[in-house]
Amino acid sequence: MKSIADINAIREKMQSKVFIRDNTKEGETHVFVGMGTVGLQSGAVEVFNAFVDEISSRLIKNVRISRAGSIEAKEQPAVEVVLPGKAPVTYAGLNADKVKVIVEKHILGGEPVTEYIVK
Amino acid sequence: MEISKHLVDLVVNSLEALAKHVLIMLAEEEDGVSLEVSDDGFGINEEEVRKAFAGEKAPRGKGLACLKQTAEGSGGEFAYRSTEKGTVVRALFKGVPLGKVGDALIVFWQEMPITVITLSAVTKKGGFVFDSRLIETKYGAYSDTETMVKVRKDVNYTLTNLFGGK
Repeated sequence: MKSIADINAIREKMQSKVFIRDNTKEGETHVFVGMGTVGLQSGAVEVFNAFVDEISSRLIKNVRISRAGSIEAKEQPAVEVVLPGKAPVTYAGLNADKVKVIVEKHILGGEPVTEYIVK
Repeated sequence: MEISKHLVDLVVNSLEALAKHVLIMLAEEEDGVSLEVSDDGFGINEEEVRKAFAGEKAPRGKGLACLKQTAEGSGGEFAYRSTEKGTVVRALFKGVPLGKVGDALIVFWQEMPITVITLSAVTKKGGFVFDSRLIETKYGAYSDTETMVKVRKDVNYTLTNLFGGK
């Protein structure tokens, strides 16, 4: 039987493999969508899928959209966007329309959308 | 909250318990829709669940408390068993919308190469099985966002047909 430590070790090993594979693409942007229970109640799945829609329909490459645990913010759903070499930016209270703006201005344009940023 | 969103919440619990395999079963019952999520993770602490059900702060039990409320509030049922070997959660919903299960599944895209996620759906009209290990075979390159969209569309379309928008 495997202990939790063993399982953790396997997970770490596997995760580093995935990381290496995905990192063959230089300069990837990461989008983390908080999926805590409150986030889910406020539309985190919709926001996640809105990012998928925008990124795929605009044929944007090198953007990885992932689930995160709950992201602490007064308003939900909350999202963290990390551009290559930049500090993470946390947005809160998002919806599909705001996602479009973030993709356009921040992910493509490189300028964070200040009005949606957690204060 | 729709069934598909409770599904996300339960799979999050499974992943946080470091499950290597998560099995999701959706079925049409005589009087509603049942959802069962089982995993081989290290389980959830009973004390944490008790706290969450009592409305106290308990991060990992919150989703279960929320599910219990939706299922029982709809006139359905809720049950769970958890040991250090795994967890199974079962809920019966009456008149609760299924929601978009494809949208819910792709939330775990980055985790699926590490944790196997299997979904089976059974109704009077037929059945459907999704297995994360077969994504590349059935849908396309894993690293492609297009593949995510294909999986989402296929699962949403198939389940809407099977469950007839229930």
